[in-house]
Amino acid sequence: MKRTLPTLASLLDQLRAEGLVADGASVSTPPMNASQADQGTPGFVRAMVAMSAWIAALLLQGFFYGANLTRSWESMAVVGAVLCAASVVLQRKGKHVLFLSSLALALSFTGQGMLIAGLGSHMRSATLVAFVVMVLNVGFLAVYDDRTMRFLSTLAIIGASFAIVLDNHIPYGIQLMTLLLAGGSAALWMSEPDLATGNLAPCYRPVGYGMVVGLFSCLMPSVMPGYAGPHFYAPYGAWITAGGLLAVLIYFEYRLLLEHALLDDRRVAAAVFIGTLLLAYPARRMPGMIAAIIVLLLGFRRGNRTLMGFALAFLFVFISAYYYHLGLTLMQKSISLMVAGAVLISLRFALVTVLGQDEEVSHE
Amino acid sequence: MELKMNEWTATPEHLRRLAQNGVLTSAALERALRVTGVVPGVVEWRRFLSNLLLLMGSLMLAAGVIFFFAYNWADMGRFQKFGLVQVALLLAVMTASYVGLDRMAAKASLLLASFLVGAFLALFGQTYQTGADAYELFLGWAALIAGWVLIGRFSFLWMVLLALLETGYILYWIQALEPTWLTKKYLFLFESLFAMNLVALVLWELLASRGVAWLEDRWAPRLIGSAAFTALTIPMVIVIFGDSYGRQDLFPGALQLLYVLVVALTGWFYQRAKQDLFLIAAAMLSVITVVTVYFAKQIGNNYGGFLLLALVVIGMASGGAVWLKRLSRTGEEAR
Repeated sequence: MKRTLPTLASLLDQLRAEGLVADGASVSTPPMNASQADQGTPGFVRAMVAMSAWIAALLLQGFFYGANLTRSWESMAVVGAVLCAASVVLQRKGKHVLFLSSLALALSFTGQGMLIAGLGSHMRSATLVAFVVMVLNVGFLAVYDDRTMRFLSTLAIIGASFAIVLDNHIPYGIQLMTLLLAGGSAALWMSEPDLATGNLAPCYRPVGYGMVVGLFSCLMPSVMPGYAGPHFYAPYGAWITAGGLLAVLIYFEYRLLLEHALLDDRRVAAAVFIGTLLLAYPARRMPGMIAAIIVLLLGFRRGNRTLMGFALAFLFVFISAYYYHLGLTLMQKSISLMVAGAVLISLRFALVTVLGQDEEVSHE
Repeated sequence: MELKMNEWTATPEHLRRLAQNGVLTSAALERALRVTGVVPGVVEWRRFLSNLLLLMGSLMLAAGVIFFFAYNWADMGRFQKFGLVQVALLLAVMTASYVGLDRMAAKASLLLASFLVGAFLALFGQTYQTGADAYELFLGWAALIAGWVLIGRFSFLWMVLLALLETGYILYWIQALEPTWLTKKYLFLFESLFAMNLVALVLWELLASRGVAWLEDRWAPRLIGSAAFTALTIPMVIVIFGDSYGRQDLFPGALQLLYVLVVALTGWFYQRAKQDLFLIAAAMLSVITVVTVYFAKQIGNNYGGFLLLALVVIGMASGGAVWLKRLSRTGEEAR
């Protein structure tokens, strides 16, 4: 059954009665900034505009190529830098006109592509190019007031960090990045009420989504057969990642149990922690599965279906990829999955029995 | 008539906007999200955990069984293997029957049983080396689970059936008919896939509009609709480029007519009859793709034309987005 949402006015009355809103506070419509104007736009509409901007950026690059502006690295870099600057100005001036803000997005994609390609062909160092990408996108994150750009800039910064770690063969760098992203994502989404009322309100959500997608992207090499090469994963790398992610997951669950005053009920706490450890057993070689569970729980905790969608999609990818994992025989994988599956189902029935919970009828 | 802001519904977006404007403190925002049911309470957590454990457990168990048979353990005789998979199948079906089909546990059991049928068929092919093509496995699998799908009243199970049917159908075309690139047969593969998805979508919407509660979830029709538009857009793109390869015969006017009709009907149905902007956006993205490809072909190597086309693409997307935002606002006011 679908729930009916109250109006803002009636909800404010309730909050006022509970002492959570000051008596004088009322719903007002102050002038919106660009990110607020964008807030009413469904996510798939933003995705459609972003995809179109990307197609337009490809066409613009074709135009600049035809106009002989990409023949030398200097011209590419200069035109790219000018386009980046122009996109920021256009976005700020035309933030209430969707055509102009979409054009600004396309110009920024084109500009970044040309600037990076130009400097990249001159520098011939992946680390230096990645550093330029990072600096450029930190700048965009700060000055370009648009959700799509902030999401993509976050991803670009994570991608550049990943490239630096790989290019310099930093030991356990990927593991560290993964754990920082997992912990950072959990901290960011758990602090949503504070962030939504502070100065970071316009940017925390796109950055949060970028961090989650970046987290899964960092874990994607683990699904590729033969990933255990020295450049990617140091010895015991998957174990370290799985152990770290498990620690993040257990801490998150502890916070949730505390929040709902369920920590005192040892049976519930035991069911949750045993279930987690069992999930971690087959996932020790495929840590992405633990990361997907963290994001799934975060999404449910925040009532955020986008996060839950990301988590389920990647969970499916990681479970499927487990089949191709080279470190274990199919028999070993099969036994660990069957045992974990059987115990999870038993735990579920134990939980229902312990809590006396009415089982959900699916069409409710 | 435009609503005043205090008459707006308390969606999470609106609540966050109030918080950003300083009307709500962080505690008030959290409470508001809890009151509106966005942030879960203890009861919702219990239900979620219960379903999560059940679905994860079923998924892992099914994957474990499939991995086990893929291992093709030489020390185990074929009768033991068949016995094992059949006992597991029987247990899953008996559990579904015992707990009652309205319950989530029964649905998860039917899902597990459906995956086990696939494992059984794979084991059969592995043991007897029938030489059958892969499409027969998928179509046979779909036929064998169809009964459970019908009685299961579980949208996920329906999507599994549709995926099996379409995979089997695609493999049939590739393995049995072997269509060559840029032939009418090749186009017909996509057109028939479009037709399959369209029929599924129409049936879904029809039954949902008659009050079938378990069909109310929007994720499945959105997925089917997106698949339908993808299957229709591909032949449109192929026919646009077809004459470059001397294949003017690939310009069947009927396809273009069908395309225009489907886009128009999608716009009308999901705006007037059942508001779902996602599918209108999918139709719009398809139109943007087709128009862009058409003009890109006309432009050829004229670089100035790329600039013009880039502006046209942005114009179409932003025009579409403005229209969708307006529809979204109108829908909200109507609620």
